[in-house]
Amino acid sequence: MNFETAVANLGFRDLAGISPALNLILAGIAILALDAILPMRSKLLSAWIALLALAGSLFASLHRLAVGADISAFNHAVRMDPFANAFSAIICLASTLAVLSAPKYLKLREVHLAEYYALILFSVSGMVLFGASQDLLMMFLALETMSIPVYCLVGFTRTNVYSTEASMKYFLIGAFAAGFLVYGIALLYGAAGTVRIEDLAVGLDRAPGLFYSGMALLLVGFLFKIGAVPFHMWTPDAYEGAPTPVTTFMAEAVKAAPFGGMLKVLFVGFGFEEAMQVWQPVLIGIAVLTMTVGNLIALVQDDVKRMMGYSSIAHSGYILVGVAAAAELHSTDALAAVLYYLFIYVLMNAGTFGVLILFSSKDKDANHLDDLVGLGRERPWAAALMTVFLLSLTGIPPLGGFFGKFYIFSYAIQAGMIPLVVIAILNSVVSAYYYLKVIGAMYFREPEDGARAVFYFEGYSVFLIAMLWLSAAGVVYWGIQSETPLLLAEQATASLFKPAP
Amino acid sequence: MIFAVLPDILFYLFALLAVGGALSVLTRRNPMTCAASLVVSVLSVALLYFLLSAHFVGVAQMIVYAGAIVVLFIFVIMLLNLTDRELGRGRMTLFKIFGAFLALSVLAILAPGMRSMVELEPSGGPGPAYGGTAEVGRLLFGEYLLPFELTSILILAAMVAGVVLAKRDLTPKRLFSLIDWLLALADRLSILRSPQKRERKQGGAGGEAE
Repeated sequence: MNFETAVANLGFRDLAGISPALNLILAGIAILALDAILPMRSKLLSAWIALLALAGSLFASLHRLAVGADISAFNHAVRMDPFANAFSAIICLASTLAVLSAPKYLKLREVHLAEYYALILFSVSGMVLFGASQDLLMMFLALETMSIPVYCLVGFTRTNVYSTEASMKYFLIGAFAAGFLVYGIALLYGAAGTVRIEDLAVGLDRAPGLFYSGMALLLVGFLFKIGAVPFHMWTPDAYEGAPTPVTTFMAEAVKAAPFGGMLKVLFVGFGFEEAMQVWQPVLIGIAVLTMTVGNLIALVQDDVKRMMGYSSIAHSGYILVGVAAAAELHSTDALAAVLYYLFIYVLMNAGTFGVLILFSSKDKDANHLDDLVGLGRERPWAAALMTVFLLSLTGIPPLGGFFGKFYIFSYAIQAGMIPLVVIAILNSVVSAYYYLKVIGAMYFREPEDGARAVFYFEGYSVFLIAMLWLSAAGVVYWGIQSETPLLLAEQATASLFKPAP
Repeated sequence: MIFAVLPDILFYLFALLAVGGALSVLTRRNPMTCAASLVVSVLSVALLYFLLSAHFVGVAQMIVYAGAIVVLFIFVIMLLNLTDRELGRGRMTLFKIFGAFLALSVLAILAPGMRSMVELEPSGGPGPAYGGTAEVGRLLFGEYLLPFELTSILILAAMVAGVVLAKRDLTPKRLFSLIDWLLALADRLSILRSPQKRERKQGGAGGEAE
């Protein structure tokens, strides 16, 4: 394509096409500019701008998803199809919840800065574009735009040694993973002569060695990002060290977003028979390892944040079961189950961390199991909410977490992967132990010295309460009413295989 | 005659230098020697780009890698100033042997693919402007506009992140919220200042002076 036609093709339509991401970028820049021009003691204005931008992107994505809009923009660099819009909606929802949890906690830690919201918005814009990318170059840049702000956010409480350590660790391992990804992209470009995802298949005939090496490296890069075993080492450390609102953000948005690009590359780029026969068994093995290792190590954790880190590894495993089943069945409906799982996962994780934030005080987090002893008697509502989220994470009906697992496992049974499903269900049973351990600490354990436990709502803010109730309502309502989100997800995944407009 | 084979000779020369430099980075123990070898390797690759008539990429490689990145390496090496004892003895560990084996096996897998990729464009190769700044600019601002612009957001985010992590004092000197600011303005115009407060303020100022 020559320059004149390439430029003539660009216009308002392209900008409107990527508006969910553009909106976030502009809001991020606005927050930075406003804070520079008019520094304010209270950063709530920044929080409100961020929330408005995220809500705007959320509703734009949902609207486009509902009407089935399918837009290619910027010379087919991105495609905002229902698949991308569904991921955009999930991510914007997750980030909204994460932003709601932040203001009071950061204020307690004396790092309530406008930059926090700007960095979150930049990161989210990267995530939105990541799921929409149509070529690997774009995908890599979007992934980096998503990751780099998060490295900083993990170390946001700068005087805290653990936070700094976690940030450093996460940064180094993340850079390492990015190296794998770039190497893989380079090899695939060498094999296929193009970075466009739907044309990658050409590379298999031309240079199988390059193609398979590139595919393996790309897969390793993605598995790092989603925290699958054996590339999971950073997860618990980063989760534990990061300020809790950032952990919330990482456990939902940063967790869900890589799946968008990964599913696209796997099913569009490597979705043909020969390649699928290679990556699908590998993915099954990794799913088994991820679930088992994550759950077993979570059993012995006493720190709830660290335990949730291992639990998030285990949940990656369940999601990979769904991906493997979708590959076996060649069914987009099975992929829709994965999307639904991510949606519910975002809600229940947000809530769990939200309750931890609620009882964080000025100089101490309430992360340890012992910190929650007696919560059931002293603060019944908070304990009840926490119980809902933990039961949902365990997978108890009629909560959302149960239906998420149910759909994924039933597709896996349809695909004939009975041993895999048996392992997954055994893992769910194991996971019940450590989730129930938290519930046990809240309701059935007494403080050792016999005194009444004292809980102050030091992390209380209207934002946080809104976030807790919203996610609890979501987990219950969208669990019982699972048909509606599932239907939307099915529309979304169906678009994955339609040719771009 | 010599001009016909000159590109080939240069290619093999610089390719050897690039590989030799990279090997030397891996095997030398003195970090300074490693950094210097890296420069050799990076510059040889830049010259290979020139041989492919990708002038812009070649110059960018020189400026960014040899210019900026290696300088940063050297800066850090000199800052740490490791002594011979701290560096330890260079030993052949199992891990290194495994790494070498892995590298060789990757080479064995990739090599056949590299040979088969060479395909001329049906139109008879690239045009005369190929590889120049203008051509790269056209690509960046045409076909790859969005990735290019996203890079700017990436760099902006990295810059903000760096400032947040490294700045000594994050709380601004002048602290006021919008409401604070309006109140201060009202205060200056002495609309809202109560008589007692005014007195106390004057008294305080007087006390300081004494």
